[in-house]
Amino acid sequence: MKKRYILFILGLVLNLQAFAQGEQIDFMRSIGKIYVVVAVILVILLGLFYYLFRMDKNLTKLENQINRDVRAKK
Amino acid sequence: MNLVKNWWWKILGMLLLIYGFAAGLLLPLKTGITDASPFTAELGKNISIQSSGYNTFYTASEEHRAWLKLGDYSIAANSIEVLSDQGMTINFDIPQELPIGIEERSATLIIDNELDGTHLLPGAVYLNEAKDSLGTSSKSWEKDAIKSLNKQEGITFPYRNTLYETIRNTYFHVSLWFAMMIIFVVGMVNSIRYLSSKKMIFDHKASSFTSVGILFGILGLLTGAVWAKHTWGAYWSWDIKQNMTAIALLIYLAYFVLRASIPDVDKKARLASVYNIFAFSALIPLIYVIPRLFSSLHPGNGGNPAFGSQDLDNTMRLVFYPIIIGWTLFGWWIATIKSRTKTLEEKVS
Amino acid sequence: MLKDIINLLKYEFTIELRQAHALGGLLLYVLSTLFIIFISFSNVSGPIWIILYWIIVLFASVNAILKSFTHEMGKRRLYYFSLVNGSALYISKVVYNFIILFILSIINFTIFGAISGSPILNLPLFLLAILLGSLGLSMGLTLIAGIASQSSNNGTMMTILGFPIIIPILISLIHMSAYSLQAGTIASVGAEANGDIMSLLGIILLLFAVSIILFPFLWKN
Repeated sequence: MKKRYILFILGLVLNLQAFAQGEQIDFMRSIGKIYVVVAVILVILLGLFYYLFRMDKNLTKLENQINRDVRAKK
Repeated sequence: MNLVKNWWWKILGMLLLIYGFAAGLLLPLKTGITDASPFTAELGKNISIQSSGYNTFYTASEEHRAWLKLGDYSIAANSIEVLSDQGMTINFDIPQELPIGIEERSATLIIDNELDGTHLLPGAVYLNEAKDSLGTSSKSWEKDAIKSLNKQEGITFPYRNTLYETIRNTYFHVSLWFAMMIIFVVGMVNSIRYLSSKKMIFDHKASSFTSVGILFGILGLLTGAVWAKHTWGAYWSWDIKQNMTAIALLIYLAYFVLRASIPDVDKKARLASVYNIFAFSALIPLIYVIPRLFSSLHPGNGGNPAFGSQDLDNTMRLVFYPIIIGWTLFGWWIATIKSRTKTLEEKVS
Repeated sequence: MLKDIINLLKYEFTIELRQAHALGGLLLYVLSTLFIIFISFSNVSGPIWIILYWIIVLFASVNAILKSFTHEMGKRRLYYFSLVNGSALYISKVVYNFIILFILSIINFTIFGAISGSPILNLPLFLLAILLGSLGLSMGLTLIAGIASQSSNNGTMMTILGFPIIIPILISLIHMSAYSLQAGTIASVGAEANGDIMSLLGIILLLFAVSIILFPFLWKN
């Protein structure tokens, strides 16, 4: 289920970019190609966010397990 | 006191990253010439070149000078007309013949004023033989005539044609690759420590560092693809450094597949550590072998993964090295959190 | 140490001869791959010939080397191996794999040449490439096979773990064998091929040194 969402979003992004290229071919190349730098920074941020999200999920799983263990002991 | 001991390097990492991002994004580029038209001229004729500058303030400067340069020889402009901050029209009388002993026909356009400093466009004008009538120019080439050039003031990054502002990606994309290698080395050292001590914590550390290394590798590959698309024209161009990163990622992804395929914890740690060390040492020859076989689009070509002195000037070093350390410490921080989680997990189960 | 290695080698070959069908299977594997290739390509140019040759050898070696660890992987064998030194075991495995691979590559070369006509003009250089290739592949893959044989679904594991590591060796081999398309002797080839030979030797030494240190950890608990 999750994978399908990721694929969907990826497809959307690629389509948008294809659209942008068709509409105005020079958007990424305007103002000294500064938008390429913007895109690179966005990719890095998205990647870091995704990684944090996964770590958070792991930690939540661990917390739930600990909570269950504590309850079982009581 | 404990707070300082545990936190100084994390804060250092954050500060270095903040510094790197701020300086990397805020400092302006040097002045440059984006294009000049027309790009052909006939020998012996008069030509007026429309040139457009980048980051220039022509109207604010008073004394403008311009040259066309072939080898050591040059001719100065007859007249210069400033149209706007970025545009000027330059008139040249091209001499009847090429300078003696020079075969090269693509002349470099050089513009100089007191505010923007010297900026140039290599291969701006191609000099053809006169076609229909002989030229009337009486000018001749002068040797070593370009003197007392101005320097642009302030801290700036180098200007490169086709790269333009994306030269800043050196700090955001290339630095990730360096940080990835450092993180992988730390992971391997932890694998060695696991094999020599058999303490589970080192295996947790090794796998966490490797995981962060993969994160950096994937980010480096994606950002590299975006950058490559807009400078070389394709997301993936089978370039050496792209291939190397891809192979490194294959090796380390296999590391995690191996870990997933072994249920027994001790055996998993032992085999994964052995593989990690072996794979890393197999990665070293790759750095020497592959560059010998393919030519690269990347700068710093010829076996050396670091940038040569031509590609990285001193101002860039001032941002580039701190941001590498910043990424490394940042990755280190994430990896420690991850390995602490794993240690807890082990205690609970 | 030397005595251990010789004994282990004898043991390996006895098993091998007892299970002749396994070795025959490998040969059949090479044969059927060749058959498929020549059905698909009607004629093969020199560089492609070399690339195909090394890829067939690569796949055959992955199977052959993994087999040396998985056949008869019982308690008895573990007991037997616990008696000898890990490094001795590694050396015997590498030597055994090297011999098998070398024979396999030569047979492959003969059949390949017999079917399609060999474009190789500098035979000594190509034979040197085969020698270095079987040495390099056995160095690179023996430790990996040791790891893969202890994990579940070891066939897949072997390719996943082994291929990225073998890439520098394979590239150097293909690059080096390309020089054997021109007539000459080993001494007559230029500095470029010598560079490939040197880098292959370097990789082989490096992998050997690392493997011999790491291999004992695969068996010790």
